[in-house]
Amino acid sequence: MKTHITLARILPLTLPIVLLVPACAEKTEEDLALHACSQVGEAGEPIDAAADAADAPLIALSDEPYTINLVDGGGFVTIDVPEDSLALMFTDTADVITGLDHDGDEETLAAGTPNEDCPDDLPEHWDLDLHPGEWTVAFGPSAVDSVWLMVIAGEHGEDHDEH
Amino acid sequence: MTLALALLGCTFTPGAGFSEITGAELTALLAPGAARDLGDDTVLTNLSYEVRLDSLALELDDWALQTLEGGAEEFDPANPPDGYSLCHGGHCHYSDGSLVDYADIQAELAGGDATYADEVRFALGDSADLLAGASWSLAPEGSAQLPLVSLSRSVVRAGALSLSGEVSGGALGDITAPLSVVITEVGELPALLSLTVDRDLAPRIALTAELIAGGTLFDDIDFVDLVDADDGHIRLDGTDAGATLLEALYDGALSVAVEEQP
Repeated sequence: MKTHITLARILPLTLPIVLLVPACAEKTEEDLALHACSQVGEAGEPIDAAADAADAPLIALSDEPYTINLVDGGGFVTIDVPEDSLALMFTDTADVITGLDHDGDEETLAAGTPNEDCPDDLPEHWDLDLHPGEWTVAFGPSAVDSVWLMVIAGEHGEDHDEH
Repeated sequence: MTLALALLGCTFTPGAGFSEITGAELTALLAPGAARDLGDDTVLTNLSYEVRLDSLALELDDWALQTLEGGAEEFDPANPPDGYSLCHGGHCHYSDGSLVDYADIQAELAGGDATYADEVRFALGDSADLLAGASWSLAPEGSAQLPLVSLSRSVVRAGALSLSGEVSGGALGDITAPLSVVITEVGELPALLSLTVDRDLAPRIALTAELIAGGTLFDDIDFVDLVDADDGHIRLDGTDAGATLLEALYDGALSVAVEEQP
């Protein structure tokens, strides 16, 4: 048995998700992290990122992945968030997602950490506490042409204490 | 107490621990990853600079597995202290929105004077060529037998970091500037560890550590502001940019895997 132990790999990602499930059993009976792992082989809907944030195409909070086609290794997409939500954002390539803003205000984006269930496939993820509005994800600069992206809602933020 | 001593008597043979370290490997290298690797030892930064490296060397003093001493309360990510939530991946969310490493929370719970102490030490005393990659097979100083112990952190202690190369792209435009960095004392490169040595652990374990300088090593360094007006060179020694580079090196560079053997 081989167990990886790092600052980013101590506790399975599944744990906080499992903790959230009882409060929102009707929304997230499936382990979201495992679900993300199961979708890595799916290309999902292709989206062309915009070179300018103002032109960023909309994507949805969804349990389906997207393939984001980048513009010279970078670009922007926007997530339309209708209500307070805790969400998980996964990507298959490290060091490509470089920024996040909410309705034009830059948000702090901590270093992404691996999905513990498939760290090689999904080397970065973030917990996002999203408020209503438009959230724009910045990609690049990078040396890749596209990235796999999934932004999946975990629960409604306003109903819970875990903020 | 008598019963406990009797049980211990059934468990131990003289000189034997709960588990034996049968092997330890440490590898150190530059691994920019697909997003930042431009080939030819060139790293793309988040400010669009291209840093081509001719050399990247790190002096390694030793590697240790440590216990946290000075506190009674253990940090449980499944039941974090007040103010912390959503603990996973080595960090918790604090009520002010910040991310806090497990190690910091553990130390906070243990009291401000809690310290890490070496339980196992592997001597290195060598320089790692991170461009070529370097690896060592190591044996612990003293006994390879581990007693009943909870190991909370692993750390590689590093001396000088030196690199040379050139920077282009980004705000430098058509300019290509020679780059040199010498940081005399890098210090501790840590990784949180959660390894309890007891009868549930296999009698023999092998350790594998990777020390990775990743693709974000030069992120947030605006090289155009660092070009020497006299000779056109970029030197990071003693600058805020040097500190930024060190922070990037500290951030998740070390990982440790434990393989249990029958």
